[in-house]
Amino acid sequence: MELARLYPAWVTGVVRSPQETTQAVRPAPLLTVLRGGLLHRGYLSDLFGTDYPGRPRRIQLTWSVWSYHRNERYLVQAAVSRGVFTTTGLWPSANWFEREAWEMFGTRFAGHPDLRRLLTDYGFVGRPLLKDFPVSGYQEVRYSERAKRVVMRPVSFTQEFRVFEFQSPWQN
Amino acid sequence: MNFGPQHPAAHGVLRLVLELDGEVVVRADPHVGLLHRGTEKLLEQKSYTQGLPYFDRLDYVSMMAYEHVYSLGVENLLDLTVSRIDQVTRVLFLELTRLLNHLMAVTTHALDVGALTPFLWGFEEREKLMEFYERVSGARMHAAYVRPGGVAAPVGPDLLGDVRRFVRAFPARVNEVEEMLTNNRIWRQRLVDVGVVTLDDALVLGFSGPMLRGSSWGWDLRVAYPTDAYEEVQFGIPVGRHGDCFDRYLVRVEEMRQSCWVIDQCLDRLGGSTPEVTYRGDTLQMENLIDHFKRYTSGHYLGKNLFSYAAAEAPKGEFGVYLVADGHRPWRCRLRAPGFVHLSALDAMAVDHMIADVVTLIGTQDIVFGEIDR
Repeated sequence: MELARLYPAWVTGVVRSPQETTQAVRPAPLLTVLRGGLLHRGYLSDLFGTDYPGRPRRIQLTWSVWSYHRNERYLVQAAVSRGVFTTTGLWPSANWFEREAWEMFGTRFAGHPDLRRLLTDYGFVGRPLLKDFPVSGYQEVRYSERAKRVVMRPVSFTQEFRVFEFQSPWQN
Repeated sequence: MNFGPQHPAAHGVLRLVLELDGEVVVRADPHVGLLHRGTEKLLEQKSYTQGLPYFDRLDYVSMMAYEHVYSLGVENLLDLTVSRIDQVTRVLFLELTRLLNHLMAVTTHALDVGALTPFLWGFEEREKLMEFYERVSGARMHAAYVRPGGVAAPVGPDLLGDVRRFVRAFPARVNEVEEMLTNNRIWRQRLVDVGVVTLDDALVLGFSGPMLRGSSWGWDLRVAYPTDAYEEVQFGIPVGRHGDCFDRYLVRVEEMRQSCWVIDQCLDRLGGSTPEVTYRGDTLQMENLIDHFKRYTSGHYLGKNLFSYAAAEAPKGEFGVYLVADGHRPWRCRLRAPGFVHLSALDAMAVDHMIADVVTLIGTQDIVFGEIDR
């Protein structure tokens, strides 16, 4: 809660959760403070996106910063439309997290040294963790007897993908 | 040069592209994702109960530790407190899991570096540990035992006795492994002063677990942010001094001994009186059976747009689960895998080392691709 008091211009709202959370509009200055500040010297333990298709800026990025000295975790969250500046300069550990976020959500990180795909297949197209990407994907990989190699083809299923969303007879 | 993806020392499916100058590594570029199954995406399709077994498949050498963090995340959302007996049972099995993981880490590391014997001994012990898994959950590895709200089934007194017998004998097994390795000339030559990570680097690179403790930072989430019964048990946190592979090896070995101590304390708390188990017997009542069936079929309703971040000390380091609730299913489930962060630092660790040291480095990072690729 101290962050909101110290840096009112950067913190728009604070959500109390099982662990402390800070909502920030401009993550860059706040993250710099978290990195270098004497009070809050923190180290990046995670960075990831969340997709909210209904919102004007649909990707929400979350930096999880752990402060060893204060024994607290700060979750800095920012809604992003296209991209943000990279935090690899502050923490080298952000490198792969940003690669992953870019690959999974398409968020650009300006100034990132090496923004390549990380977890998906070579030549994969699409942003898998966006909500409008189907679970089955678009392409499937199989061995082609004719071509004598592994080929990519559009997915085909003998059975439709089913989601069981029962109307529960019990009140929840 | 390509190192892997089929190289046995790559611990699974790591394709490591090495740029070499003679035998000296100039740049190491890990290509991961060969085991990517889209767990985070799949979890968004499943109810909270159905999602649990995916966590066994993340780090398939320390299964329950990952189930546990997920359970914590769901419990945070539900604002649920676990009964004390389940908390102690969890700690008991988490520490057994730590033994399982560290046995794998230390002995396969030795195998990669050239010592086969500890591997054979270690896997005999792992077999016993997996038998405990099997007796309590029915599965040797993918247990799905630690569940949101507690554990799947209570531990019987005969199993407690067998665990006690195992833990009494286990430090001697650790000593045997140490006899083979710690003062072994080849082992020392391969490990001492290899892959030195200074404390500053380790912090900035986001290390956790034995990787961070090896660099002389005694930080452990079991102490920093204790969950379950960790507050009431005692244990020491071993810390390395030089941050090299050898120190990390020593840290892991000592952690095994400390885990034995914790297990012993848990057994003291669980033994003696017979555990008071009520919820099992309750399913015999018709109303409760209906309630149980309903919860299993429709899943739990956890509200909307609530979120929680749960993290705990997995054997490899900090494992975190970020959950956003969306009714019966998570809207987003982020998995923070310790191995992912450690592997991303492989480039920084491997530069200016000989190519043979890369094997040592991969071993010391204790890499498992189930969690890295997710």
